[in-house]
Amino acid sequence: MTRALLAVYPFALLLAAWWLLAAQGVLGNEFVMPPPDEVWERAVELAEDGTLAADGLATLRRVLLAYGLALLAGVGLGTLIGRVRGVRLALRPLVSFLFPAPKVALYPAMLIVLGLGSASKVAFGFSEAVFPILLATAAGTSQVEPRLVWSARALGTSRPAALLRVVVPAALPTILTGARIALVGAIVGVFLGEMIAGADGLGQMMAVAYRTLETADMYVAIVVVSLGGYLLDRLFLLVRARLLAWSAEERSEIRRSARW
Amino acid sequence: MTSSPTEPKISTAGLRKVYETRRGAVPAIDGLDFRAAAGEFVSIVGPSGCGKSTFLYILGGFVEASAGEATVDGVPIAGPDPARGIVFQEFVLFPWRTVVGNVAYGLAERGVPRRERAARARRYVDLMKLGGFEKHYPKELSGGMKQRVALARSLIMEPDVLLMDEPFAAVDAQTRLGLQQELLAIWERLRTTVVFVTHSVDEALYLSDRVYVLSSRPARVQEVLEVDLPRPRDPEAILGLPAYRELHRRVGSLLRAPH
Amino acid sequence: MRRTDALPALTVALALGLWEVAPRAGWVREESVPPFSDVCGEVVDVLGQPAFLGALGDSAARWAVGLALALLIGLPLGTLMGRSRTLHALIDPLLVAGYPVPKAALILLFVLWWGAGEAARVAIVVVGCLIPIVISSYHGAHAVPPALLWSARGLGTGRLPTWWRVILPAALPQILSGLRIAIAIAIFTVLASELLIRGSGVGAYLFTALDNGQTLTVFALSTIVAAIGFLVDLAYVAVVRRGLPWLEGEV
Repeated sequence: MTRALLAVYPFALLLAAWWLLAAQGVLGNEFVMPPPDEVWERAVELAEDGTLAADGLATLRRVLLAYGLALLAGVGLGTLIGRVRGVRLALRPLVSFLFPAPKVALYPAMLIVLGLGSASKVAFGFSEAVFPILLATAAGTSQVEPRLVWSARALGTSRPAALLRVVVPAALPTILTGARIALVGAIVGVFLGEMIAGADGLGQMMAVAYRTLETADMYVAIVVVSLGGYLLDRLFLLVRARLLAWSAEERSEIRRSARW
Repeated sequence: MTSSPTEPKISTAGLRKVYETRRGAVPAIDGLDFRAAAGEFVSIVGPSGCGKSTFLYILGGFVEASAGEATVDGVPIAGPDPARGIVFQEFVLFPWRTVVGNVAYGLAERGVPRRERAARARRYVDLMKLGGFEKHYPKELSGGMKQRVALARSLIMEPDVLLMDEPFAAVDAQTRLGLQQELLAIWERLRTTVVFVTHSVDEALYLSDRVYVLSSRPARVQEVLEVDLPRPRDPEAILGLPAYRELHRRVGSLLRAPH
Repeated sequence: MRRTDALPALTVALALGLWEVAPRAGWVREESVPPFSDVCGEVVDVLGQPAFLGALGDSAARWAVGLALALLIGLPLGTLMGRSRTLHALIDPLLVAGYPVPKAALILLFVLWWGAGEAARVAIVVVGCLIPIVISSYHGAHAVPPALLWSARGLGTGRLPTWWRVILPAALPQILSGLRIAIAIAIFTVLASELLIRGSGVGAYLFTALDNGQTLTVFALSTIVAAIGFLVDLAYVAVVRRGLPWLEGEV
């Protein structure tokens, strides 16, 4: 019971603070900071005329695509890096250079190469999401207990098959830690991409609203994307708990460490 | 139990293993000659860290020897094979698979159809007294049970050779005795060739036909002893036999002052 | 050993070679992807422009101040959380809720409230990198082995002094790990906010180049910024390793 309360109280707190600040006009007048009920009304309007759904789905689609690609590339490449010395050596300079690079600085180049449509947003989201997965997979797969792999080999599993049947499952806890961070990366990448130069999507909604001074729309956009991100994260944790049901960590430990 | 000396099941000659580390070459095994006949139970004892596990891993095909020969049925060991089952001391079971999932793993690899897999797995689950735990995950099992599952998983492949790397070392004394007795019972029935690495002299003498005593690192054979105690062996009764005490004394002194 | 030593250099050479050849050979449109050598030339040009250097200075200042403030707030907060179950229970849900918010996007709201001045620009950096600092400080402080604390107390260290004599040093590896991430996030946040509201800074410079269709300049700037991110990270690791030789493992 307390756990549910604790989980919910930030939203209550935010709502209360918002109301208070808007009522007192602390951060600005009603235009600059509309109270929550006004934003809610605007959200309903947008939902009714279909804009919210259209933009929301556009963003969601891009996020899922970017994330899916990042998972494939990150786990695939990460496993190779973690298990094959040649690959690790070959790719290390490229990965070490690209990892700390602020991908947002590469976004304009993506816009030039991929145009102003979905592709550049997906690419941006992908670039933000792939590295946490890649690094976590490389670390996790390289630390798999050799005797586990040997047991499988001694039971007839070939070398490449062992990667899929033993190494990746064994590295799953670590991989999923990176995957969780990557989820936020994908959302941020897509959203910011839409903000900087986009034709649709929640990010674009916020940016256009800023320029046209439709301030309520700005709040709608950021609240929707944050809520969406929160829900996706919760979903992720659910899936993770299922996938790691076999893990030696205590259930409660997984939930506790599910924070981070 | 012994076969003709010209046809050993497992044989190594002049086996060497050297590890290349940052600080230079570190020899782990320095010329090991080993022989095990079909159906024999051979133990390997040696001081801690002497390389006996490394030797076992070479027999298993997981580690390559730096020099020398290692053959099974006259054929050089090229890599892991279900005909040479292995049971490690820990980190053995696949934590994401249930007991049955682990036991049937090798059969699934081989492409055995599901129904037959389930039937065979059940047989070995019963053999290893794991009834009732089929759907449990390794994390829910005690140390002794995990090793039972590991054994079942290897035995279900009906291997010619069973390699065991201190399989009962991480288990409490009471459970260990039970496991040893079960192992012997199974071995008497199946007559697999067993190579058993242990640091416990009692365990080696209780279980084996012959015992290899290795030196400290880099490993060499100090002596090979015939354990001429009659079977079936009672774990308590043999402690009193003079032959046992003599063997124990001999091995003990070799381990204490290795040369 | 010897042959594989060349592998890293080989892949880099391959990648750069591809970058050079592909546009020239027409595999990709030269207008979209300028060849590597051209980009290099432009990089040198840009680095000599006082306008760029000024922008760099602006961005760097925001980054530094934002990071410092985030540390000032986040480090004490996180470490206290690590040692107080109540505090952790209270603050942690806030972090969980705030985690998925695209914080760089908040710059638009900040500008709405506080105008497009430095306050908003620094505040966004603080907001952006606060959470990683708090989390890593929390983990570090939380995981201090009781044996360590008890040993210190048993040797006469008072309650309060254990904070800086035991807890902080023990938490340092985790904190430095989080700081490394925070540094990168701060760079990202500065650039993202400048790309969104422009005005001054490298992000604004970049946006202008993009807006004016100066593809070569855009690529050059992207390369420069990527290199800066890389070098800052490298320098950080080197400084940490040199300054704290007792540290085990990676940062």
